[in-house]
Amino acid sequence: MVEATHRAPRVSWRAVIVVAAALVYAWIASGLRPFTHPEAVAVGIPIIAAGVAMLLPGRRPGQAAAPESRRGVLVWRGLLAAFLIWELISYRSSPREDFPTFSSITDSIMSTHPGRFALFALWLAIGYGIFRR
Amino acid sequence: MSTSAVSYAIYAVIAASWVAWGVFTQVERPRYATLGSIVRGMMRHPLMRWAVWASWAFVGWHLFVRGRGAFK
Repeated sequence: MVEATHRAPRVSWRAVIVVAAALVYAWIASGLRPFTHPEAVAVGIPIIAAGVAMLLPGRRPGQAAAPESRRGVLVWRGLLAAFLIWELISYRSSPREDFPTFSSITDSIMSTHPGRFALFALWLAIGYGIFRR
Repeated sequence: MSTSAVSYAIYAVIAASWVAWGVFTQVERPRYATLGSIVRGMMRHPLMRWAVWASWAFVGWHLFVRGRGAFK
């Protein structure tokens, strides 16, 4: 009898609950108005949590990461520089209608609750991906 | 072509380049550095780790708390 040696990855209940909780949190936080204390608290909690996560010990000994390739890093730097330079040119130019900045573009996306929720959830997901230990 | 159309087009080209290069590096990994591998490398350095955290925090605070008026 042939036994399968490769199992499909299973999604744990813990992961489902964490994702659901994060989405609920993002929906509530994205419903709060900018320039208010509740919104500052809602954004501040993940920021502080990420900061605390960075203070915790990271990988266990013996789990050292494999060396990563450096090929293509220059392209990434070039793409980041292109974005930052154009953002700076747009920021220093006017009127804003002719020279939109990243913020003004995201403002139009965030003019609705679903759009604001999508960006908040994306921001949380990026933070989780970076700062999980 | 209006100035705003050119501005949006430049952002679109930059965004498309990010996506295209991101997909290429994912397909060609580990030969090429992915964005994830670069960030992982930065997180190994104590100072760069906090720079990544500050950048992420700034984006969140600027977009959701302060809005576009943060620098006005």
